[in-house]
Order: sequence, then structure tokens, then C-alpha cells
Amino acid sequence: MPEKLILRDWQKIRTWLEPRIEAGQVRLISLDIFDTLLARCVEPPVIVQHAVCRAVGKQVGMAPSLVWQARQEAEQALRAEAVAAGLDHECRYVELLPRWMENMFKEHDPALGRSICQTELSLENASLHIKPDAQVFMDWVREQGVRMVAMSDMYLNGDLLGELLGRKGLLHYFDNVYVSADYKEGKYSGRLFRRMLQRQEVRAGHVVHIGDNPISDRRMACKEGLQGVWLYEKKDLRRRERLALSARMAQRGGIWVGRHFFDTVQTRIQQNDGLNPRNFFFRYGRDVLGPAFSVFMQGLQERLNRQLQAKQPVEKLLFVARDGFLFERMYRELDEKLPSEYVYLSRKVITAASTADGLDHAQAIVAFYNPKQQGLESVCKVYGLPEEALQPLAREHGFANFAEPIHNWEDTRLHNFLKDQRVQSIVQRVGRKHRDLLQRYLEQVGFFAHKRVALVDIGWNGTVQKFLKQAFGKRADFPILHGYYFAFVPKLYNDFGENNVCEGIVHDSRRGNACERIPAEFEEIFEQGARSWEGTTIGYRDCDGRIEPVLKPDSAPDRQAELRCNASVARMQEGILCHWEHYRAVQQLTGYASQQVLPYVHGLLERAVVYPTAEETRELTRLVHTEDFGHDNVLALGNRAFGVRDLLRPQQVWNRMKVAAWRYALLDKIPTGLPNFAFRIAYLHTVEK
Amino acid sequence: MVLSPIKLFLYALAFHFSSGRGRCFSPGFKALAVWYASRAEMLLFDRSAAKWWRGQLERG
Repeated sequence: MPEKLILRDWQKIRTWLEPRIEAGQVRLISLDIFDTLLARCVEPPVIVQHAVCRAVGKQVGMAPSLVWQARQEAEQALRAEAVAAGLDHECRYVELLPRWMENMFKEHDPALGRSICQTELSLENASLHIKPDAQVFMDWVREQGVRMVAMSDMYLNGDLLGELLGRKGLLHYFDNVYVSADYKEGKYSGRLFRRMLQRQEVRAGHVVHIGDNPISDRRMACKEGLQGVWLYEKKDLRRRERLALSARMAQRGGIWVGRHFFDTVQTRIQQNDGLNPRNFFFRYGRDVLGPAFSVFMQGLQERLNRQLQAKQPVEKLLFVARDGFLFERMYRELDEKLPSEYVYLSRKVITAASTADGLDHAQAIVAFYNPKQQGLESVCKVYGLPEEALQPLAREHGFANFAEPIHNWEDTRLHNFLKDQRVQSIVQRVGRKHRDLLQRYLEQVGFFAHKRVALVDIGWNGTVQKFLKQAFGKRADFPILHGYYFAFVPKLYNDFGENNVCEGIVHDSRRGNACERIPAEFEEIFEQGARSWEGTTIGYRDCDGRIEPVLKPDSAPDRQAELRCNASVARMQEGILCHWEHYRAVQQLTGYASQQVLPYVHGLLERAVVYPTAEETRELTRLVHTEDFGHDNVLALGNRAFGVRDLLRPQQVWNRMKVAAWRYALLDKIPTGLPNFAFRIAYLHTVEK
Repeated sequence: MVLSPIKLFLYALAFHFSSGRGRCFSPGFKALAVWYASRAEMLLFDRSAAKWWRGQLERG
């Protein structure tokens, strides 16, 4: 009887094997596949089969529970037949598939069978990764000139398992793949080992078998005369236990679903990307912004599907510059997608076009929402109006200083200025020019060529959507507009007009849920994470009949600041896209809807915004933020953090808190999260009232 | 990306003390108790360690 070998890692196996290979005692190494060479990111493995049934159900229009039931019945019948024939309790996928389809539709469709088979392989492939230490071990064995075979107790037959190993780039390591399904003989009965020895024409004493199961891979191998090695990887077992507990808790609903989901995403990321050193911005994009933007994209996809099912399909998706840049890149990664385009629109060009019929008081005061507003100068910047032409008229109405901030929005001088026909005539002349160019640009991107168009943007007020309707809503071919926003906080306008629907997917202030408001507490970081590296659109020009956007020049002071941050933004977006890749795979495996995952994402964002780590505060406050409402202002995301002395001046502290872009970063120097917690309660009290 | 449930519970308390609508990302007290009881069980009755000892102690 061979010796009892329980080894904790691949290095120990190698140390044990090395002298024996040199002595010529080992001629063949047999390796178990699942949980030995390949590990899963989901636990228990039956999750993959459920995912297959969901995909099949969707394909054939049947409830997943019925598909699952049909599969279980077919599998149990085949296993019972194998036992009755004196074989092991095994079933082959190629036999299972027709029986399963017959249970579902009373007939076998070979084309559908092939499609189901590919789905099964794809989902198995998505859930598996190669253990890095195992691959190093296999490379070493190959260098020693020792042959290897793979063995598994599995329902997939040998050629399918071979295909799976091929997809993982492992097939070339093995002379043969022995699967219990092919012979209906398992490792657990010892029969598969006998079969392998017979086929390989090798004596049992010259074979070492390595696997993670103490019974099948060690005890039974040893019983058949092979040297069985039980690979006992404690860390791996702990991971599987943790994932299984997460899956059990997910059945309770609430945040546990999201926690299970992201536990799986994190496991998958660690398995595939864990060895790569990543900088802070990449990690922030991957671990904080990635979950938020990914759940937004999933929510968007679900809404588009709902429109399709309601026979009111959205025909074209327009990702609005600049924050739609990342969303467009994420959308491109999807398998099923609608025609889409990244469009150069900005609040500035839209508002400028909206003045073609004149500028009213409601439009003018939009410029005053900016805390750094400079009265009529801001109005000119926001609407692209000529300051030099309007300045003399403003003086006539009592505005000695054109850049004087207007805090009283009902100022009589302002009303009189806007009523002045000379002012309106200048405004309309410029506005018409802006509107004509914008109209031609929109025609060029096919905006008016579809019945139903969706705008995708980060948020917040829906200015672009509102002003598009205002400027072109009278056209007969103006489409039904759906605005899908990451967060929708309509502070500026309430009425968007007929056939103009807006929805915030991660946050919509109209839902009145205080817990989901977190993106609005630090809007700037979400805009930074999603924005394009180009400047904002400040106008259009006609280039030989084609309308081209005019972007803010790199020489502008705010653009200079942006350019300095672009490298960090690019790393963040790489991290977000890395997350998105794993998010999609796990979504396929778990089948969770965005609504199930969303509460956990709100918790995740609450942690990131209200209780940031010292590293997060230090790195993120280096970024600067700009706005596209016509100014060149730069907003620093960080201010000097509070010290102990500041606590003696509570009024000053409160005032600074109120105007800070990221309030909670000001508490960075005070240890523990308690001040953040206390301030959070105080702040929620004020906003609730 | 994976937060401890107790942290989520504490974060949600801020909503509980202010608006009274802190349930959205709170794991819930009962579920939290179940979670920690399961973790404690995993730690105290370590199945993988028991398996290892079984492997060590069995004959052959």
C-alpha cells in the first residue's frame, strides 16, 4: 500500500516528487481537475447549472424552474439506469441533453442541443479559473519529461471537458482526459483508476494521482495501488465555505443578495487579477465606482428590455458627452445592444440654442445656481451671449458692474433688462445661430430619424433633455425621449413636457428614499470617474457641410487642471471596466436583477463617501472638478481638513461643511469614524427637514 | 467591495436616528445575528480541519 500523503500546497508536492522523478519511480502523474487545477468563483457549483437553466428558459420561453425540473428528471433517470446496468452512479452529458429536451418539448432539436451545450460550456468557463500554483507545477512536471493525464468525476463527457480545458489553455499538458461520464465509472469506486491504468499501459506503482478529495483522490487511488495525494489547501477550503455561506444568506434577500453578488465578483477578480499590482485610482475605480456604474448599466439594459417587451422599443441610444463617455464604452462590451452613439452635447450648447425665441426670467436664473455666479456675465457665459453687445444695455438698466452677483433673483433691474426688446433681439439673433448649428448636428447623428430615443448621462438635473425639448419640441419628427440617468435630482426643473421621460437608476430624488441619495452628496467623484478626457463642447462649426463639435481649448485654465488629472481618471476608468467584465460574468451566473443588488451598492457608496479611508481622502482630493456651464472655474475636491482647534468654532465648521464639495473629507484628521457618523446624523436631520 | 455586515448595520443607524428610514441597506438585526452565528460555527466546528484530522488518523 502506498504511503499516506496529505500535502498542503503544490510546492510541498513538488518537493516530495522531485527525488522520486529523478530516481525514475514516477512515470505518470494524474491530476484531478475541479478544485485541484481549476477553482470556481461561485459556490456551490450547482449555481452554474441553475444559470444554464435560466439561459435555456430565456431562449425557449419557459420558466427556469420547469427547465431545471426537466433536467433533474433526465439526470436522475440516467444515473438510475447506469446503476441498474451494474455501473457507477454516473450520467453523460450527450445522453442527458436529448432526454432533457424530450422532457421539455417531447422532441429533440439538435440545433437547440448544440446551443445549450455551448451555453453550459461558456458558463462553466466563466465560473472557473486556473489556480496559478497548479499551472506552475504542471510546467515543472512537463520540464521533467513526465507524462500527465487529467481525471474527473463529472457529467460532461471527455470531449466537452477537453474543450473546456482547451479554453483555459490547459489541454496541451495532458496525454488524455479521463472522465467518469464516458465510462460510467468513477474515481470513488476505483474503477476509473483501473480504466486509466489499462489505457495508459502503466503499472499502478509508477503513477501518482493528486486531488482535493480525501476519499476519491487519495484513499481510492491508494487502494488501487497508485500513490494518491490529498491536496489540502486550507485557504481554498475557507474561500469555498465563505462563498457557500454568502449564497445561503442571499436567500434572505435585502442587502445579502448584493453582498453575495459582490463577494463573488471580488473572488473572481482576485482569481484573475489578484497578482497584478494596481495603483490607487485603478483600485478605486474597480472597487468603488465599478459596482455603482455597473449596476447602473445593468439597470439601463433591463429598462431597454422592458421597453422592447412592451412593444415600445427604444431605437437609438445617445450617450451624452462628457460623462456618457464611460457608459458608452461599457455599453459596447454588451452582447446584445441597440444602435448607439456618443454625442457631443453640453449644457452650454443646448442652453445657447434654447434662446432662439428669447431669454425669459426662468432661463436667466439657471445661471445663478452656480455658487460662483457673476450675475449677467454668468448669464452670457451660460447662454453663449455676446457680453460686449449687452453691457451698454445692462448699464442703462442700472447694472454698473456687469459681473456683479445677483442674489435677489427677483431684482427689478433684471426683469427690466429681460423685457428690453433690444436685449431680446440680440439674444434671439445669437440663439438662432446656435440653434441652427445644433439642429444640423442632431440631424447628422440621427436624433430626429427615430421614433423613440434614449439619452444616457450621469445626471443630475436633466438639463440637456429639458432644453432639447424646449428648443426642438415643436418639430413633428421630435422623438419620444427617455432620459436614463445614473442619478436624477431635478432641482432646477420639474416639468419636462409631454413624451419626455426621465429616470434616475441608482438614485432618483422623486422616490424619496434618503438611503439612495448618496451619489448626490459627492457628485463630482462620479462625474470624474465617467468623464471623457476631451474638453467640454462649447459650440459647433460647419466643416464642408459636416457639423463638427468645437471643444474647449486645452489652453483654458480649467482645462489645464483637467489635463493634469486625466492620467488618474484613465486609471479609474480602467478599474471600472475591469469590474464591469467580472460583473457581467457573475450576473450571468447568479441571474440577480439590478434592483436586488442596488441596496448593497448604496451601502457601498455610503462607506466610500461618508467614511473614506485616509488613502482615499488623500488621493481623491488631488483631483479637480470643472463644470460645463460656460465658466472656467475649477472646483478643488478637497479643503483643509478640520483639526481639534476647529471644534472650538462650530459655526465656522458648519459653514465650511455646507459649501464643501466633499464634506466628509474634512473630518479626515479626526480619528475613528465617529465624527463622520455624528455629522451624518446632523446632516440628514437638516436635509430631511 | 465586500463590506462587513456590522459596518452596514452601523451606517444605516445614522438614517435610523435621523429620518427613521434606515432599512434600505441595513442587513437587519436578525439576519446579522444569523450571519455571526454561522461564522462562529465555522470557526468553532472547523469542518475542513476535522476532515484533515480524519485523514491523518485513518488507517493506510
